[in-house]
This record gives sequence, C-alpha cells and structure tokens, in this order.
Amino acid sequence: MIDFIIYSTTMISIWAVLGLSLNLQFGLTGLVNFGQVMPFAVGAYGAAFAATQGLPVWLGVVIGIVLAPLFGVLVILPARRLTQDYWALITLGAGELFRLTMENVPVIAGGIEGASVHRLGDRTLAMILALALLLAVLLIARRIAEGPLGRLLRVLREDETLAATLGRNPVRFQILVTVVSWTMAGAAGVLYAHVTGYVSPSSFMVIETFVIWTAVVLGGPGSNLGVILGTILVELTSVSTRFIAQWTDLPSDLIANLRLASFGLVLVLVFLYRPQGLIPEARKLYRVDDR
Amino acid sequence: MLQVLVNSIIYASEIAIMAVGVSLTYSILRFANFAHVQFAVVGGYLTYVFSVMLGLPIVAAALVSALLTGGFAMLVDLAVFRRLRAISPEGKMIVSWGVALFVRSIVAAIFGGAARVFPIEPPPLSFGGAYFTSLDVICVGATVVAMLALHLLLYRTRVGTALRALASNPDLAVSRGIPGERMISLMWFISGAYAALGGALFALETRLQPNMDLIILLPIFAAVTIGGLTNVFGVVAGALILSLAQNLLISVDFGSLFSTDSWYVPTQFRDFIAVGALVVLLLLRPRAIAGRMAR
Amino acid sequence: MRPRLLALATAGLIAAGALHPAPAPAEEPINVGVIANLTGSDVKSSVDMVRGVELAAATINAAGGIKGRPIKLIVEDAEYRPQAGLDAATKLFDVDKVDAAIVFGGSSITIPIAEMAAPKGKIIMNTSASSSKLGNYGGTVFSTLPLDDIVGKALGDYVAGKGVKTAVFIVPNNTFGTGLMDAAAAAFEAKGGKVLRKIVYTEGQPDYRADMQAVLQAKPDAIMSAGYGDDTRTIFKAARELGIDAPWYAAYPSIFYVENEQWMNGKLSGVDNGGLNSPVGQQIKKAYADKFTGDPLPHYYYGYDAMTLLAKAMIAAGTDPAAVKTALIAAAKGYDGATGTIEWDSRGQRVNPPMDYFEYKDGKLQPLQ
Repeated sequence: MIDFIIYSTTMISIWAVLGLSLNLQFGLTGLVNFGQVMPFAVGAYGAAFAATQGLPVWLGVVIGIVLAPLFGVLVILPARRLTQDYWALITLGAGELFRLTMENVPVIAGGIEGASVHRLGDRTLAMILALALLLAVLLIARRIAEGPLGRLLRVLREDETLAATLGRNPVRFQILVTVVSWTMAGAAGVLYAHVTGYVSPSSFMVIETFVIWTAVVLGGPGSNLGVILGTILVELTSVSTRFIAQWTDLPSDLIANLRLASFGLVLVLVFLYRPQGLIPEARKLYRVDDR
Repeated sequence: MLQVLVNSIIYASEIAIMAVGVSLTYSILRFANFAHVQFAVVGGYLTYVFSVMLGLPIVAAALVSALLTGGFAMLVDLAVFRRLRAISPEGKMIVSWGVALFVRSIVAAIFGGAARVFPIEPPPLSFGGAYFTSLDVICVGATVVAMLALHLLLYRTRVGTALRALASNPDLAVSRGIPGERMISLMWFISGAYAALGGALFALETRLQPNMDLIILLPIFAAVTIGGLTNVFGVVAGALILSLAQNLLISVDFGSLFSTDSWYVPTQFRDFIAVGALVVLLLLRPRAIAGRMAR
Repeated sequence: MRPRLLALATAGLIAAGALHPAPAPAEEPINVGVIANLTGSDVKSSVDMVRGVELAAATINAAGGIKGRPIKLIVEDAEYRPQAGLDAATKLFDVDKVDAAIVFGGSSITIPIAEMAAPKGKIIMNTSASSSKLGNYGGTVFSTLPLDDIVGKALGDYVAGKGVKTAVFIVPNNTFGTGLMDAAAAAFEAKGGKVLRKIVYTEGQPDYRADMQAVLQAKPDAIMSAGYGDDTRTIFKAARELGIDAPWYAAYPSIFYVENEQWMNGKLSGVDNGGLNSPVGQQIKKAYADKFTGDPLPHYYYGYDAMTLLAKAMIAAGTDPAAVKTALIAAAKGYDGATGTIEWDSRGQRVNPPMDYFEYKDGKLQPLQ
C-alpha cells in the first residue's frame, strides 16, 4: 500500500507540474494551448535519444530540458499572429506532428517500438525528485505571476494595445512565459521518462493533453493550488473508480466503459455546479490613495 | 492518377458532412465542439439499429436516426451547454470533451467496444481505370445533396438568415428580435442531424465503433480549419484539399525523378501530411479564409 | 466555493476507494491480476483474452483451485494508454497484492509494466506483445505468444518456395507488424525474392485506400502481410474495391478478419500457430460458442494457456513468486494446451511453436496438406 502511495504521489506531482506549466502560459498570455503534451514529449524523448545513442543520462536530461522551450519558441513565433480561435488547433497539430515524427522516424529514438531509459530504482528518490520539481515550479510560477512580469502580462491579456502604449514589447514577454512554461513541462517529461523507464509515442497521444486541461479547468486558471487540487481530483477519480469497478460482478468490459462514463459525467457535473463561469483570478483593485 | 483523385473525393465526402456541423457550431457558439463527432457516432449506431436490427431500409433508417440525433443534440445543449453560455471557450471545449467521453462510453457499454460492419456488399464499378463501388457514388452524391440542402436553408430561408445573423453579430441579432436561444436549439438540431448523416455514411463506408470520433477528430478539425472555422462550405474544400494532399504525396514516385530507383513517401506519413498541411496552411493564410460566413 | 467543493469530492472519492468489503472467510482466494485494453481501440482482442483467462480460472477452480484456494481474477483496464496500464499494474501489485498479472496490451504497455514488475519480483504473463525487447526481462515476463523472428522466417521461406519473385509487404505500424515484416523480408530475399515495397499502415484508420493504392501501383506477384483486428478487414475491403488480384501470404492468417469470403476464397494462405486446432483448443472454442456469439480471436487461446500454466506452476510451487517463476518453466514442459505445445527458453520466451500452413477455402482456414 505504501508503494502505491509513493507511486501516486510521484505521478500526481509530475502531472501537476504539467498542469501548472499550462496554467502559467494560459493564465498569463490567454493563449489556449492544446499541445502541452509536446514539451512533455520533447523532454521524455531527450532522455530517450540519449539512451538510444549511448549518451550519458545527464546529457539526456540537458537535451530534454533545453529542447522543450526551443520548440515552444518555434511554435509560438509564427502562431502568435493567428486569431485566438485557431490557436488551440494549431498547437494540437504541432503536438501530433512531434509524436508522429518520433513514431515514424525510428532512428531518433526507436520509433513505434520505443526506447528503454534508465529507470530510477529507488522509488522514494523518484517521489522526492517529483515533489521537489513540483515545489520549484510552484514557486517560480508564483514569483512570475505576482511579479511585474505577471502584472504586465495580465494587462496584456486584457488589452494588447494598452500594453503596447506602455512601451513594452508584448511578444518578447509572451515568448518568455512560453519558454518558462515549456521548460517546466520538459523537465516533467525528462523525469517521467526516468520514472517509468520506457518512452514510446503511445504515451503522448492527444488524449493526454485533455487530461492536463481537465485538471487545469477544474482547479481554475489563475489558481495554482487549484490546479494541483484538480490534478489530485483527476487521479483520484481514476483510481477510486478502479476500486469501485472491482467490487461489481458485471462483465469486465462493461464495467470499464461505465468507469470511463462516470469520469466524463463527473467532469460535466463539476462544471455545471461551479459558480457562473470559470473563476478568474481575484481582480485586485488598486486605489490611488493606497500605498 | 484518376484513382488518386477518386480516392480523395471519396475520403473527403466521408468526413465533409461531419465537418460541416463542427463549423456550424463554431460560427454560432464560438467553441470547438468535441462532442459533435460523437453525435456522428450515435447517428451511425442508431442507423445500424434501425436498419440491421429492426429491418428498415437504409435510407429510412438514416433519416430517422438523423431526426433522433438532432433531438439528442438539442437535449445535450439544454442540459449542459445552455447553462454554461458564459464560460470561456476553452472551458466549453473541455466540457464538450467530457460529454464526448460520457456518450462514447455509454455507446460502448451498450453495444460493446468491438467494431461492427453494415452487412452490405456494394458491387464494384470502374471508370477510366479507376475502381470504386456504388456505395462510394451514393456517399459522394449524398454529400452533394446535403450541402445543397444546407445552402438552401442558410441562404434562402428566413431561419437561415437568422442563423447567419446570429453567427455574424449575436448582440445585434438578438436586439433585432431574433430569438437567440431558440435559434441556438435549432442550430444544435441541424448540427446533430447532419452529424448523424455523416456518421451513418462514414460507418457504411468503413466501420462502426464507439471511439470512431477519436480516430477522425484530427482530419475533421483539420478540414474545418483549412476551410475556415466559420466558413461552413469552406470545410468541403478543406476536406478535399486535405485528402488530395495526403493521397497525392503518397502516390508520387519521387525516386524516379532523381534516379532509377523508386522511392515513395512511406504511407504511414499520411497522418503527418494531414497535420502538417493543417499547420502550414494555417500559418500561411489565417485571416483570408476565416469569417466568410458572416456575410 | 469551488475549492471546498473539490475538497469534498476528493474526500468522497478517497472514502469510496478505501472502503473495502472484507474477504470471505475459509479458503482465502489467490488474487491474479489481468490487464487489458477493455476500452479504446481493438477491444475485441482484449475482451477475448480476458474471456480465455476467465474460462481457465473457472475450470481450475472447479477442479479444486490452487490446493483448495480459489483463483480470484482482478481485471483492470489499460485504456490503450501506457499511463493507465501503469496505474493498473501498480494498483494490482501494491494494493491488491497480486503476485502475477496476465497482460494484453502491446509492447508500449507491457514493457513499462515489466520495468516496474521486475524489481518487485512479480510475474508478468504476456499474451500479446511480441517485441524482442521483452527478452530483456527474463525471469519476469513469460510469453505465451512466440516472438516475431520465428514465424516471420517461416513465412518468408514459404513464399520464396512457392516461386514468387516479387512481393509487397503490408503490415500495421507496430512492433508486431514490423517485426514480422523484417524477418519475413530477410528470409524472402535470402532465397532470391525481391521486395518491391514495404507498406506500413497506421492502425485504427477508417480508410486504407491510399495504402492499397500503393500496393496496386507496385504490381507485385504476391502480397505478404501480418495484422489483426478490424484494420485487416478495412485493408481487405480496400484491396477488393481497388480490384487487386494478387495472392496474399500471411503470418497468423487466423487473426485476420476476412471481409468477403468469396473474394478471399483461395487467395489467402499462410503460416500460423497450428496449436489453435488442438484438442484443448477445440474444447474451449465450444465453451466460447456456448456463452458468446461469434468466433473467438486467437488471444482467447493465449489467455487460456497463460492462466492454466500460471495455475499449474502455483500448484506445484506455492505462492512465493520466486518459486513460481522456476516452476513456470517446468510447468510448460509437456504442456499441450490451446495453442499447442509450449516450450520456453530460459528467458521465458516461447520457442519452437508448432507451425502449420493454412489456406483459406470455402469460408475458413483449412490446413494445407
């Protein structure tokens, strides 16, 4: 049982990092990114590439963490010009392009067969690393959101023209936030690779992006702790429904489908019973005479 | 070469009707509705139930299922989306994903996850060296008819004009007396019915399985995006462009252009081409195609 | 408001998950885990595998179980996602405390599970993945399915022996397909054949016209293939509609889904695991027909053998996993099951599987004389 708790904590931490990274980018730039699985995959594949090419583990970590934000810049630079509506689809497409490349070009990291990576044997160590990453990401996200960059980006999100008149180049800051966000996700990917010990394209399909987004919108953009809670809720729903499924005597495939149905139902219900609209972060009112 | 063209037209019409509904929802409600493709699956299964299990002729089964699915879509809007009009588009997208997950799982629970096929054996036909079947002809024909019907509805009826007004400027439309919520319900009905038709055709052409929506999600959204998110008829062009790009690039012997050895783009890159085409086209001409329906 | 709602929901789910009905007294059951893709793509293979396991468990329990203790199966869904497969395996091993799990899922799901099972000393019975990487987990993974190279070579030799000069391959883009293709192509070319094109199709697509178009273009003497499930039906349909006349030679033709019996008549032949028509196989096929409609996919038989062998080893060696592992290799000796005689090498991978040659005639696969 304790092993299970360690495992769950590790996984929840990694997925929470992904949620926080998405929350950072989306919350501060308003750009709806449906391809957050991509930096996750890039990080993991950095580790996989190193493993298949016989490079040392630390080099794989570096490759993963460095490449992820580079891809972020690659995606945001041309895509930024697009209207908001297209953003979700183009990021979705970009994520799939990366996965399909990894799948169909075997020389990079094993193709469809995947690649084995050094697995962290000490599960407690894995958990500690995951928690440490989560803490670091949380702190960084907080600092950015509450600092001047965060304030500027919130203004930017509401009114781009105003931000421009303030003399700041909005693009530079959007890129900066994307870089930070994708670096976080890339780090999560590298860790995930070494926690599971195996990297294959099937781990980075479109559905994973939906898992991340579910956690983010359940917890509410603008609330980092909410995102962590959302991730916990998603994981707990998944796990507890497995237990509930086990107690019934119905055919296993029927139960499996009902389990997923309940997941969808929970998602819709939580939305229906929330207060009107996604709660934006608390709008701070600054009065002139406040100091 | 003719065969490539024929294949492309068939594939495009397989997804066009479903894509049209996505575009319709988007232009009025401004979010990408992932549940829409599940409506197509429901329509496919209902058609199966009515025709294979209850013995109705296929056309009747498809029409009945279209009506029922349209009603179902309206119900989904009433139960879920109407209450969430004020939330952000990404919130609506995630909710639609939840609805799709729920519906998909219930369909799988009822019918089982394994795929089913319609027990039809359309006779093969041939024209100019290209092979296809009579079902393919019907499918393409049905798509054309469905598009014409939609065009008539949107541009030749008052209801259609109201819908277009709502799409172009909701506040103005409502302030001019167009009943917003009722129009929206109607839109869901039309979307659902079209989804069902598309789903039935698709299932007839290929196969029926609960997670069909996940398989064709990207091609449909790619077609919609290429054609312009709010340009309802652009999606047909989008589907064609996508299909042609895929099939052409696979069939050209690039190797023989440069040497005596043959080299083809490996067929598994078909998806890559689809998604790549989407991304490239989006980056090259985003604004020119968007928003034409608003006229 | 919402954080409280979430906290409440979270607490409720923890409670629901933790409350456990206490096990019945007397003979404490032995938990055996099963992991399969009950949702997602290609569900029928998983469902049939589970049915095979269930039948075997019921048969064993009826005969007294494992030294009086009944087998209790805990079936988990891998959702066709490696992450879900890992969640399932962790739950089974750490909470349900199973010592062995029977897995269906392809290499991308089986390998991560093997990675985590190995250090825990657990046993994985593999019924579907055929990547050669699985050989790296000797002592943890035991496969009732033979790895690709044996069958692929048999196919390549057979086709070359038929006098076929040029061939095109069409296989799914996974380790099963590409592994078989590479082995068969190597054998075919070694005997003088020429492979015109290797077509690898993405699984789960609704339409394979473009892929079959490529086959049509190449105009081969024969088509060599491997595959399973609904995709193969779509492939055959596309081939028929495009008017492709060439004969098909396949590895494991029994897991193909023939789309049109008349069109396929005499066109398909290949190499298969002959054991599926063994006495045990026939018997459990009848059991399937009594309970369910349609024919079982071969994974039904692989699942049955996996459970039976596992039980046999447990009866011989008790429940200590280390002892069971040693007993498994011995248990296979002389075992003639639903998939024929099973012989394992020291890695727990199947060797010398009974191979037979079949031809599709009059609506079914007939053994070639």
